[in-house]
Amino acid sequence: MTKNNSLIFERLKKEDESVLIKVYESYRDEFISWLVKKYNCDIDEALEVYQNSILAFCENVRNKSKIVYTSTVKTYLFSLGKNKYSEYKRYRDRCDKDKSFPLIECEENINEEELLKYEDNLKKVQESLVILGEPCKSLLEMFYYHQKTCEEIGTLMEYKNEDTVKNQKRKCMIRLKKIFEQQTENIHIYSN
Amino acid sequence: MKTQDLDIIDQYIEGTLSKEKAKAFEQRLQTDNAFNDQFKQTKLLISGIKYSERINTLNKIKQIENSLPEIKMLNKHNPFILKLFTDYRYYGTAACILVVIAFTLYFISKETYRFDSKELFEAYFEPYPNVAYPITRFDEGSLTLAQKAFYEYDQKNYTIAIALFKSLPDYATDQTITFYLAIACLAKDDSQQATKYLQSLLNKNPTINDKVKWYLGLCYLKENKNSLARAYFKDLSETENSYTQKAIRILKKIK
Repeated sequence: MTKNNSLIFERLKKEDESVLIKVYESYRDEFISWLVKKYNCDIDEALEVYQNSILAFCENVRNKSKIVYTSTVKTYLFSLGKNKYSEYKRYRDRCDKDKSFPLIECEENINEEELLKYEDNLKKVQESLVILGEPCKSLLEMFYYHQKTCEEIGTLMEYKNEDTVKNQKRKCMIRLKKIFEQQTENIHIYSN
Repeated sequence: MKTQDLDIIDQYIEGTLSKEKAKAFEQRLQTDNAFNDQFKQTKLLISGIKYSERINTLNKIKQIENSLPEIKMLNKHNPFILKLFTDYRYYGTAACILVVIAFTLYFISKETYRFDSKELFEAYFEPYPNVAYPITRFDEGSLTLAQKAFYEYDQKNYTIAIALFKSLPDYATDQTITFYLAIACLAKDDSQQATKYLQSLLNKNPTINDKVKWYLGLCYLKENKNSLARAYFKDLSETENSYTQKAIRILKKIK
C-alpha cells in the first residue's frame, strides 16, 4: 500500500470529512461506470450501491479489525462494491422492489416478515433516541457506532474522566431502554 | 436492568469476555429467561443506535453527491487510457507518455514561443564582420591608425577599438567608421551610444541602410523598447534584403 493510501486510511479513521469528500468524488464515475457495465444495472441502482459501499468503507476503516491494510483505497472500495451489489440484489429479490438499500445488520436466514418487523423495531429505537436527546444520544452514538473509547468520548464531551463516561453511558442506556419500552406495547417484539 | 448486567452484555457483544466468562454468559442465557430478554433488548438497542447513526452518515454522503456535477459515464471503448491515469500500476507508462507529449509540444511551440527581449538580443546579435579593412598579415609598424582600429575590432578588443576609432580625424564624417564604432559600442553593451551613432547613419546611404536598421532594431531590443525594435524588423521583413528571413523569425518571438 502506498504512503498516500495509508494516509487516506488514517485520516478517514479520524473521520476527516474533507478526505471522505475527496475519496467519494475521485472514484464515483469510475465505480458507477464499472458497476453498470459489469452487472448491467441502471445508474440509480449503481449510485445507491456506491453510496452504501462508501458508508461500509468508512465503517470498516474505523473498525480496525475489519480493514485490509494491504489494499489500496480503490481496490478495497471496489471489492466492497461487489459484495454490496450482491447484498442489494438479494434484498431486492426477496423484498419490496421499490425499497431502498437495507441499512440493518441481521441474520441472513430470517424471512421477509421478520426482516420488516426487525427494521420497524430499529426505527422505534431511532425515535426513542430522538426523545432521549442530548448529551445521551451523542454519547451512545460515539460509543456504539463510532467506536470511540471512553477516554476519547471524555475528551470530546468534556467529561471529568473515563469512569464518569462509563457511568453516564450506563445511565443513558437505561433511560433509552425505558423510553423504548414506552414506545412499544409488547416487550417481546425484539425477540427474533 | 442491573448495571453489571449491562456491562457484561456489552463485553459479550464486543467479544472482550474471557472464554470461561463467555461460556458462563451463554449458559445463563439458556437458564435465565429475564436475562435472555435483557440481552436481546440490549442487542436491539445497540443495533438501533448504529442504524440511526448509519442513516445520518448516509445522508451526509448523499449531501456530498448533491454538491457534485452529474455522473459522467467513462468511455467503455478506451479502457487502457482510463487505466493509465486511474490504476497506479500504469502510472509509469502514463508518465513516459506525458514526457513524450511534453517534449513534442515543446519542439512544436519553440518557433512560436515568445522570448524575453534580452534573451533574443543575445541570440541574434553578432558583431558585423570587418570587411572595410581586412587585416591579413600583422605588421605593427606598417599599419595605419585606421587599420589598427579594425585589427582590435577583429580581435574583439572593443574598448581599444572604440578609442582608436574615435582618435581617427574623420570618424564623425566617415560612415564606415561610424558604423563599426556603433557595432563596437553595442558589443560593449553601450546600446545608447550605439543607437546615437546608428541614428546618424539612418537613411543616409542605401548600401548600408539595411544593416543600420537591423542593428538599430537590436539596440532597441536590448533596451527593451520592443515596439521600436518591432518597427525596424517589420520594415526589414517586408523588403527583399539580407536580413528579411532573420527579421521574420525575430518578429515572431518578440513579446
